[in-house]
Amino acid sequence: MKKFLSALGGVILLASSSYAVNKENTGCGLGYMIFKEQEGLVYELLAVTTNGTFGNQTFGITFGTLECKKPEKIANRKLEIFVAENMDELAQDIARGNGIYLETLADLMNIPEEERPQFFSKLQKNFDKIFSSENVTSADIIDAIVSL
Amino acid sequence: MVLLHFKDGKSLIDDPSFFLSPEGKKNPYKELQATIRAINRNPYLRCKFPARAFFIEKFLKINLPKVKCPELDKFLEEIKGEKISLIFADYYINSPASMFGHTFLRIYDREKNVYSFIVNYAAQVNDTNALIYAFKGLFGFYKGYYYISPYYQKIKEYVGIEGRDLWEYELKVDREMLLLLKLHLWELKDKYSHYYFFHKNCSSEILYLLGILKPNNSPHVRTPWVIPIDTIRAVLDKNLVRKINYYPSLLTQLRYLSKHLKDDDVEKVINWAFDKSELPKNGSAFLYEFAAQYVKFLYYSKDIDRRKYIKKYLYALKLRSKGGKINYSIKPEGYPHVSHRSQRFSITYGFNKVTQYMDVSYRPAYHDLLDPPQGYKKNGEIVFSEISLRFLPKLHRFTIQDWKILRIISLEPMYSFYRPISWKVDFGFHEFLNDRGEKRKFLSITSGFGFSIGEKITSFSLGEIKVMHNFDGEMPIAVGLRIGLLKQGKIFSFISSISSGKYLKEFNEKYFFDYSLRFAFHINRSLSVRFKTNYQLVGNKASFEPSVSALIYF
Repeated sequence: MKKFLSALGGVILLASSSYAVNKENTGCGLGYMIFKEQEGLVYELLAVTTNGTFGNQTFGITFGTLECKKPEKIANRKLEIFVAENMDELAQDIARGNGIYLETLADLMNIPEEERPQFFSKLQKNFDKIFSSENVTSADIIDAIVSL
Repeated sequence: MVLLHFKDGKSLIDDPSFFLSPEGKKNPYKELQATIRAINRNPYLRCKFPARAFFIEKFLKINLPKVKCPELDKFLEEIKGEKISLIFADYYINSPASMFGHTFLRIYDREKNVYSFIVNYAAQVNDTNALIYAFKGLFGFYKGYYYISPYYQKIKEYVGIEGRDLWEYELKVDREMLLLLKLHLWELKDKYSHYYFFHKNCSSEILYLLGILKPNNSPHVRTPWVIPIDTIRAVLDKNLVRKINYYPSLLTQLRYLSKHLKDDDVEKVINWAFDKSELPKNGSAFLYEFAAQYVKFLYYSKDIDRRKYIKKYLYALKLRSKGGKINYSIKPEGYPHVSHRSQRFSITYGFNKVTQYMDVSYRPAYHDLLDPPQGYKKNGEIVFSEISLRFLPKLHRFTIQDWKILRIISLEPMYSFYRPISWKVDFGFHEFLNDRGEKRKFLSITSGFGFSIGEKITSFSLGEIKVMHNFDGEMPIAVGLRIGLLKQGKIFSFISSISSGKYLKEFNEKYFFDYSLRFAFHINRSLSVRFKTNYQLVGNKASFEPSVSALIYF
């Protein structure tokens, strides 16, 4: 029975997958992934985003944006967080000229509904300018979008 | 009562700081009195228990002292939103915690705004070992908490990394009740309850929160355990759903985009991703979207590194941005709530050369390869604790014939751009033919790995190893190869497989051969008929066994 149990354990271990993720990612640039094990303590996110201390340690853990440069042309914390966390998806929506990430961006920038089609196609046409290099950071992107 | 999470005479919350009366966990009236007294004594307590205060003032018409609660106000400002939806995340067969799917709530104003918040109930797990996880999860060793996080994080995790589709069921809701729910979420901040895999899990606790929204018409499930999809059925049964949205996973998006491309275009993208050639310069918008999504997919599955991914991703998107607009929306193949129910009862008649028999079987969960396929993950099977009793008419008695404790099979077909492994695990108490031509029962575990191809009809091939054990101390071990065909259809499904190999221990180390053909006719989503034939050979001893079954899903 002992042998059987150890065989059983081995098979289950074989069949289960692991969640190891590369920890070198940060949220400032492209390719950022959120780690499952960093889902955060309960309500941590709200506690931090609501108490106004930007750059707090817990915030950095949850978002990976701790070491990110701040945009120069606009001060909008939600926008900073959103762009830093969703750069890849935003790049895709900008290239396509539509999508929920663009819609969210427009919401956070308070762009009225009727101006959005124009705004989206302007961003699409200027994709090269917004995502100018592989090392572009979230702050660069926001500044580029604002100055278009 | 709902606010105190009372059920069967005591509260489901285990954290002592959730109660103001020492008897609060067992006695809601004492807790109510204690709450009123305490808030009158210390008005700031209503910042800690705002939902109770709201309830006492609103429904019991008892006035309580008023104070400002800045933290709470900020919280409410952050999760503002007048709409709420219950989201179902598809089955993720490769993780034991998620194989039954998952449900969570989303609070939002605009459907398309992903910077809205979701409410999730999850166990705080530090163990990565699946066995320890299973044990602790089953017996309540984990503390479960409600989590709030941005929706886009969940999208990235589920849709991107885990490849699960999301279905959003928007609920009809009353403004005041939604506020009560939010206030209650604040009360639950940092309060734990013990997590049990079957009956106090993500879905049961989320369903419980929905009871706050609908005190007179609260959705509930009929079973003692709670499976995520049953909570979706529960809200639909109560007619609480306003509309349904679908959010396809990265993998579903890739499949969709690939259907707009020629095969050799797909091939070109794959070659480009692995540096073997250039991306075509005059490709369609679909091609570049596919290319970008594909390198993202490779990055998420760790097939390429971050630097290479960023370079290729930006390059493909840059080409895509020149292609103007294309409009498409991906439709789901089926909806998870339009599926057979997870409990199953069946009656089987069959015979072999020794006897005729009648089997009655009950399966609490969930779905096997031959069940009506609509709404379930294609070519996936999860059977949990199906037990069969056999009645032998000659002997006039019942015996336990079979107990499938856990069986998981995943025969996801390979595509040119995605090559998942097919695998299976079968742990249970089954009958096997031995080298003397007798059928004997063993506790056994079978595990197999291989691959599958073909979407409409899938052919599969698995290398299998089987370890058995019985009360006489026999421990046969066998290795073999299984090949077969599987078709899952609306009207009928079939699976045909041949398995052959050798016993390495016991059974005189004989070779074995096994052929089985199973047909299922789906009369509707709750009724099905099956025919099965099975021919087995161990050494030179053979057995042949046909049977017919009627199955009811409920």
